[in-house]
Amino acid sequence: MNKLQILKNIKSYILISFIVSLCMLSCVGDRMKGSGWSTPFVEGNNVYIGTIEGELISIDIMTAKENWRASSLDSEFLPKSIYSKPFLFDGKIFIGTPAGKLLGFNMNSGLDEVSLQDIEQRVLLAEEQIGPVIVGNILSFMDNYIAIPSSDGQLSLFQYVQNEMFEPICSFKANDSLWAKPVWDKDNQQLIFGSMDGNLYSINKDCDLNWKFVTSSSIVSSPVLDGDKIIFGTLNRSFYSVDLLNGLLNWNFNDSKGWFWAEPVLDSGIIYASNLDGNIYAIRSNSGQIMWIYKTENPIISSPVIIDDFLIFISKQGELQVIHKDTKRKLGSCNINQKVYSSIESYENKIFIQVSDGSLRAYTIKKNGNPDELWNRPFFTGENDKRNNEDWDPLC
Amino acid sequence: MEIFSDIWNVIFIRPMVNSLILLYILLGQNFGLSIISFTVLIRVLMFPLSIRQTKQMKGMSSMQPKIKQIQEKYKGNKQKISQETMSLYKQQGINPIGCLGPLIIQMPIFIGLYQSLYITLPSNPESLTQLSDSIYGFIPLINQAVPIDAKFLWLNLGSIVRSSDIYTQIGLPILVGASTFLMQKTTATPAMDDRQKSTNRMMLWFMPILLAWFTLSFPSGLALYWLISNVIGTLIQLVITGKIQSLFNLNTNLVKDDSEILIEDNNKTDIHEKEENNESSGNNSKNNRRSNRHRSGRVKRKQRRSRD
Repeated sequence: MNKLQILKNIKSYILISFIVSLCMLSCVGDRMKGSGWSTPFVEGNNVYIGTIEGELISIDIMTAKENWRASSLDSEFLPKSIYSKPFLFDGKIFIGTPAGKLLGFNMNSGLDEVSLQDIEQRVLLAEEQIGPVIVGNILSFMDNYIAIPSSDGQLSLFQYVQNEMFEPICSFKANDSLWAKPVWDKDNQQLIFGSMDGNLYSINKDCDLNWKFVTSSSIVSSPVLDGDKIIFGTLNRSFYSVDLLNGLLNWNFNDSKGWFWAEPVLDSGIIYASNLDGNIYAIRSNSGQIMWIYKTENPIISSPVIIDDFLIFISKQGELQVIHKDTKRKLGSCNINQKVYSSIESYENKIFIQVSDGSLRAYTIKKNGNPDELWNRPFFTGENDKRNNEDWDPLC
Repeated sequence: MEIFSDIWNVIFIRPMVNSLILLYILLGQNFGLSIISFTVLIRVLMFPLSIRQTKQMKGMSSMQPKIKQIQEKYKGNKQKISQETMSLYKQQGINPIGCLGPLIIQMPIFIGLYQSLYITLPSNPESLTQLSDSIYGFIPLINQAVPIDAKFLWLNLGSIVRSSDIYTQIGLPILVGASTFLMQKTTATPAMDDRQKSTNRMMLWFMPILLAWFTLSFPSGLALYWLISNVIGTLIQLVITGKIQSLFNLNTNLVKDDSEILIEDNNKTDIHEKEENNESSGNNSKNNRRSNRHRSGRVKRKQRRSRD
């Protein structure tokens, strides 16, 4: 082949590569596919999990045997992965879906309950067929109320009427998405929640604004109540304590290098906050003074949990660590080697984590702080997932 | 494989993401303006390449008569034709694939920008945490800027075109296709034979239609980038080739006209021949070169006058 032909061929190859790249880009697949964000929920002897495939599954805690699974039955073209945590209400397990629906299932049988609102036995947040995405966890309060934060910035309040329906009460519209779970201040009868517009809002049961605290950055993490204070972190690497009654600043801390993403944990006057800079910050809740900082290599997206004196957390890269909550001494660790976005659910000395490979993992935290696998193998949530029948080498 | 992904992220994605966000902060938190200025910046950096590309094209265009002569002279002998053609290219300093230079550079930019837009305009929590991994903490106000407001005019820059309103679904692909067509028209490679002519004609229509079709699957922000890039590229070509200046009677084109190159080429040959003669006859070659330059200058001035 002579030089001229070779050059002509190179031209063709370059053009073909460009066209192929365009094809690959446009066929990049389902970018909306989730990654196992929903935190498991434990009630009784069962753990409930909202899956990447849009299902709600009930699993026996001790045997890892599936009790039942229920589908959201959304259209194939809608995003499926469930972000919010299941919750218990009136003997039913409820879950919010990325299509803006609230689904309720009998906790023992998994069947749709006839007591829900419309023909399809689902409640929609919006009048359209598809509602806004429910990302944040739903709050149930005052025995028969629920508050649902959604991606269109609405916090919608519903009252559950026995054997009838969820009656919409009111809704409050923030200027940007709500990804964080609200908090109910029982003493002052107010709901407090943060928004991506950078504001922390306090509203009453009628959705009237009590006060608003303005920060300079988005709030993704759910706030924590501590006496007369509300404490929360922002994407501007800051942590705030605000007065519950008037929304005035008590203190703020901004020495971190990353975003405060997950809900912090409060224990005995100390706030334990995970950060995307890979650190765990222990902060005195009355003063904002740092007690200690525990440094790791990888971002921590999920909330830590406390069992006895152990502080347990997992990084985005899947390293599960157990440290002493007062001395920050490392007591145990285990590497799952998979990405983890979900927060940890604890029950007695057991923890449950949803992992991005489509599995639910369970560990026992031993007295020396070492995590040990509770089940013989992870529970892979895909229906007929072959990995449930394959050999498995425990990682912990 | 992961190491390539890390290198790609460090060299392309992170700088792009941070540039877009920095421009967003500087331009009053308007992401559309951020994409437009980013595009202008890329085009400005590619300007020397564009000039070179146009020179190459001009050169190839001026060589058409000589290539035709070669093809007629060595008709039937493809190898000889190819040899002579390549040698002619080499003489004139022309690279036959030089016109693809901008496309080769645009490819990683386009792919990188596609990925950067998904990171910068996250549609789900996973993407937003990925943004956190990508931003440079030392840029002031960057943490306060996220998440980015994706609205620009009527567009949602993060939303896929085919999921947008009907005007965007129809309008954006048409604009991208039309601008690509215009761009191709101004940068068309001269054809050496009839087969190449028909290939060029096919590409002239095929690429715009293909890109218009693909636009439906891209975020609106990427379509905006491609549209602005084509418009700027077309304008640059018109400036480089002097077509805009001729509209305003200016004589500052950056690349010589075909006839000037051909005349200069002839003069080079003349000079070479003259030098050989002078060596053999012992005449003063410097005087001859001077007189030839004067002659070529007179011819050039004549050509310009006739053009005007």
